[in-house]
Amino acid sequence: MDIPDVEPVAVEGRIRIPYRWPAGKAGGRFLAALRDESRLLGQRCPKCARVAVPPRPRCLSCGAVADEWVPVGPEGELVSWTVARGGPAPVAWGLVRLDGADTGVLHRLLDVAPEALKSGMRMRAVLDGRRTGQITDIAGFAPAGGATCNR
Amino acid sequence: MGERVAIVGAGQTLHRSRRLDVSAPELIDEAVQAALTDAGMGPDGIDAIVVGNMEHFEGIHLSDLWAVEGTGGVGKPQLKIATGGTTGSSLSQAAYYLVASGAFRTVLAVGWERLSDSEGETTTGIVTAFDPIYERPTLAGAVSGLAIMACQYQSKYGTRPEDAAEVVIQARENALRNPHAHLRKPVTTAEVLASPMLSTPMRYLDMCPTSDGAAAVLFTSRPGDRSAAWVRGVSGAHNHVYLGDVAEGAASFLNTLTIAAERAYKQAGVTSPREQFDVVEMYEPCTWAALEWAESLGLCAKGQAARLWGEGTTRLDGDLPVNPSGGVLCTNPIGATGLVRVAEGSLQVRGRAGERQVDGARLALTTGFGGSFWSEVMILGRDA
Repeated sequence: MDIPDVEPVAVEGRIRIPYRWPAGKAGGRFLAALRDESRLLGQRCPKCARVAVPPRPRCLSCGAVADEWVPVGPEGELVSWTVARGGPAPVAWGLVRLDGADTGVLHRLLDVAPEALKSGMRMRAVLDGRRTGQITDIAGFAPAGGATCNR
Repeated sequence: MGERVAIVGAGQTLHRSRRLDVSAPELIDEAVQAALTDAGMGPDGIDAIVVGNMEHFEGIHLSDLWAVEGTGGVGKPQLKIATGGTTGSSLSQAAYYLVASGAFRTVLAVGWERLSDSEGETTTGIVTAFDPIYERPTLAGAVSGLAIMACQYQSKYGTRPEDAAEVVIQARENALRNPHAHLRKPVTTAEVLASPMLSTPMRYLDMCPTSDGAAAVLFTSRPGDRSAAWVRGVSGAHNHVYLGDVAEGAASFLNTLTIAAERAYKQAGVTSPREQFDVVEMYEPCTWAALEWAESLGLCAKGQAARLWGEGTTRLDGDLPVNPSGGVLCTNPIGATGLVRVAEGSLQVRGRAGERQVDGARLALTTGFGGSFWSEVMILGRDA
């Protein structure tokens, strides 16, 4: 069995579609608090007390509508990490469980040498100086101890 | 469980990095005709069709429209199923349910992908599968998601890069016996460890390739005197949305595989998987996943998978061969990949796997992986 020779005719194309995605009721509250008050909010389930970040329509554990908001972070624990090396410079990514939250947030890791990364280490959120109401208002997470807002 | 369901035909294309010799429908046709030939059946014997791919890769969103010229679906009930990485295993589950329900006697499942159509943009396709509000802006693509899982596994058990390398070394050895496989070239530990680091601890040779290919499998409640692989267990388990939810508790990223496997094991009467299965066709997108997920499947104790491979248990001539086909590490046409596992498992228990046949295989475990770490499992047996 082998691939036969065939005249290699192919058509080239490109699709560009702009989109706009609403963050919704819970997401709007979370992102507005981040943008306007530099606050990280968790969504606490009134039934099972699970605290979720980012917020969602219903509690993942029990399905109740979670409409209590509690402050989380800005520090937390690095659950796991990786350093991607496909681009011009290595970029570190990790899952950070903010203090007071049950879930982790996937984000960039800043101001840390790849060799220094360790699961379980303490991290803090670094907020972007320019706010747009998006998750990238958190610029990333850096080792705990420095300033929360430095960009 | 409704009607008993058997697989009586399985066909695959030659999977390659670029199948520029065929259009998408021609690629599908190649697999469908092979399945019909294997079953000794004509297209009139097919009552309904399920077909799927991961649409972003080809840039056509009514892909079942295109596919019909390959599936032979004109005038027949045909449904598209697209669940990302699990598309192929979802197709097998859907075909099973359609036949088990008694609604259709014989259903054709077809999975296909032409990753070369958007070559170099596989990560773009995968990133657009994720939530645009919270994860897409911070996601680093398929490799890094798996790397974060691998990093956690490695730090928990102290597994060495050499242990992971052993998985791809054995996969490549097996692929040499599989004419359909994409990567048919042996690799050494030194080569794996010297390959470029993609995302710690994942090196280039730890990851699966991207392939063009298709697979077709025939499910029926009336196998007659045809050689049959009986479906003995079927289950799937979906997952939460975000990687940060998946990792909650952090016992394992793929607890859905344990959930799905336990349900399927119960249906099939499997109480000790390591002893009862004769062969495993596992969806392992990378070496590290094979190690962790063998443990999720209960094939060995937690942290012991490196020994399973290191001691040769998983080899073609070992006690529990894993991926005699070479697995996903050697062949990955994404929408077909999960169905290839089912096709290969069925060929094994039907004794038709050619040079990659596991002697006397009677019970096969097949798995699918996709999305935010969700899982599907199908168990196939020579006996009903």
